[in-house]
Amino acid sequence: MWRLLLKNVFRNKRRTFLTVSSVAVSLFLLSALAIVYTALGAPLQNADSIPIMMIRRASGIIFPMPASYGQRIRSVPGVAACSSLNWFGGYWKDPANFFANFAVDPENVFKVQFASQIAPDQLEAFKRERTAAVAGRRLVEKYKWKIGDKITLLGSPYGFTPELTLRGVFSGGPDDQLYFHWDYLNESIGRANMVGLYWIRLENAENAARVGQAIDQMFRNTDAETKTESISAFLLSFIAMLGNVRRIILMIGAAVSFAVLLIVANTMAMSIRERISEAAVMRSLGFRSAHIMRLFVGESLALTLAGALLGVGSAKLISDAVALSQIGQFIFADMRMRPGTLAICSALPLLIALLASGLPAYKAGRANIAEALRYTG
Amino acid sequence: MAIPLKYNLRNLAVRRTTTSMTAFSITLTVTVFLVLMALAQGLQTSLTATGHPLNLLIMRDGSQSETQSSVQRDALQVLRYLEGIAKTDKGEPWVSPELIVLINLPRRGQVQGSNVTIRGLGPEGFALRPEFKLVEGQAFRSGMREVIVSKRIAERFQNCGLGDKIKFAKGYWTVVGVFDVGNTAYASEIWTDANDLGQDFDRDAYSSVFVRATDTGALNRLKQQVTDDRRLHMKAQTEKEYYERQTSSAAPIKFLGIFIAGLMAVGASFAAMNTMYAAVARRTKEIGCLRVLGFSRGSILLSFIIESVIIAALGGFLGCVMALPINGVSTGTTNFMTFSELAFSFRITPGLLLGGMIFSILMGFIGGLFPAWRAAHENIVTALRST
Repeated sequence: MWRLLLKNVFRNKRRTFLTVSSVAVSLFLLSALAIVYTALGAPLQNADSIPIMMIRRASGIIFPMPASYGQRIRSVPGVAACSSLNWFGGYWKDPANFFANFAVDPENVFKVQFASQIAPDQLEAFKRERTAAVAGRRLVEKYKWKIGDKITLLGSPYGFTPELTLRGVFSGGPDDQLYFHWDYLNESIGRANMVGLYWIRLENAENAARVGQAIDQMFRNTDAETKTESISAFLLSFIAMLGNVRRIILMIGAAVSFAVLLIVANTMAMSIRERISEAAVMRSLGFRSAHIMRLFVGESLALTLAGALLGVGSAKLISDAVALSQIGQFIFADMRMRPGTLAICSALPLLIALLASGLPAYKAGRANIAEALRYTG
Repeated sequence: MAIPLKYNLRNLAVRRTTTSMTAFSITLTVTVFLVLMALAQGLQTSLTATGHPLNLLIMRDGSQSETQSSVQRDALQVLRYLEGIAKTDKGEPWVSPELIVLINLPRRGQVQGSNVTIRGLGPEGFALRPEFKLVEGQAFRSGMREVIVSKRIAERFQNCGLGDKIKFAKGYWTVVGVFDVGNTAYASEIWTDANDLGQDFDRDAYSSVFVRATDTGALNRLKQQVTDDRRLHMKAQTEKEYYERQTSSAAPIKFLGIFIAGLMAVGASFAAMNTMYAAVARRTKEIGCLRVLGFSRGSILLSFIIESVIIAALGGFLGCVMALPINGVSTGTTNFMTFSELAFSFRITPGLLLGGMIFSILMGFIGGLFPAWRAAHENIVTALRST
């Protein structure tokens, strides 16, 4: 039975090639869309086990909080480390050289962002010098900086131009960012003592909800109420700013899936129609209707499976390769193909193959043998 | 002599199911392409439509957007009396200092908030935007915490209709009017009195200054003068230039649209190719007859290509029709340069529709080329003998 199936599949090589290719291309597209869709819905995998949270002003991320909050946040049980985080928004030399630069608390920033590793002597140099800065490895490689280079950040909404000296390089976590001293920023703008965000690390990720509520409760009914959310929820709020992207992606994905269904159905219908008399010959030889059905449906499944392997497989390989080099980058934090996505993208074409070939195969298997033998198409 | 078109059309009618399935896969491709291009086009249009040709926008040197900029009151005094600034009806220099503040408001149907621009301006500011029109209610009065909202904001955001109270800064602000400002970037803003806004947010500086020049020559001179003045630390650009710079956000959407449509097109072309190969295989005897009758290889080639193009054109036409309803549907996103809401509508232009049709015809052509070649080069005798 298998040999018969395979021989039939390769009978018309060109048709097989075209069908498999068009299914593969469409499924590649579908997988890419599915990856983006899931990533936008849940930017970080295993979000529940990440013990990092972000504290912002309840009325909006653009409003700052008093610097005095830092001490009080540290006193909340469950908070292992806390660092101030002010988005500086500057660029280096040219507006095109725009990257994430933050004013942080040097004593605590690497306790919070524990995924980022930095050499101890570089960290000490950073802490000691007020105008020091540390940058992520990707940034350093991109702009070809060296330790000791002077880096001036221009164009910040804060209206001041810090002249920093690169004292260290970190890697392992998000490495396209630059950090410098919050004290330096604060003094240079006349001691406003305002912090943009507080970045905290919990002792235990499970206590996230409880600690978050405790912090927000502490600042309720003050002039600056806070909202503490997991890093995943924080990223989601940025994604929400994009608008209905997910819905548009979903609609395009539906259109692509429908197109695949049509392509496979069309091909199967064409090939089965050509072989009605052939099926009749087989049945007169003794093959049952069930055998005929299995043969045709099996061919359809084989074609779509081949297309799925190619399409979904290459999507997975490419996305993993690209994503691994980009892990931690803001909203596209984790663009690897997730197991659920892989499963759905593989199961969908098989379902389509069944649907597309089921009815024609059934009809071919049950047709009146005498009439079918006479059928010339 | 060419094979009559009737031959192709009859064949298509006979193979109705296959024709419609192939055509429909092309329809889907074209629809997706048009929707994505309409998104990019809408975004671009709303940004390039903004800006009176004689308006100059002055911001602090180094700022990429009004949100990041800050202009002190003493600088304003220098700017007011520069050569080349037009005069208002009352004989005052036509200068409008404006303050931009971002607040966070929830869209209708969403829990998460989005940033919305509140623009504080004075009476000269209204006149600077010729597209401005109050459609409901009345203008805000100073000192009363009153605002007017754009039509799009009232539609897309919760609690922003006429009569609603929005909470920001130190209290509640009442919406006393709704305005329309055409298809410009201002269509996503809330406007109020600049001094009220400054007081409530404890800001004593402005964000930017808008100026109307007397003519194009004066415009360029002013631009140069302000940018070159070392005391001011400011940069001047025309209002049109400022908004056109932000259209770079439309480019990635276009790229994405072309990428997605391209992949779908490959899939659809292969499907069309498959269909045409099957058609050729089924009509081998017919083709032999046609050749015997005297039709040349070229006319057979042309005939099959035309058949494929007709299927594709049908699919493409249906695709254009299916995409049309999206024209005018308003949506919005965050303009990451100003970090605030930018509402716009999908826009399908005749150019886009033409592009869609050409795209589908191209798919048909590519899909039909190889099978047609095959048909044209059949050996006559073997073709006549086939079943």
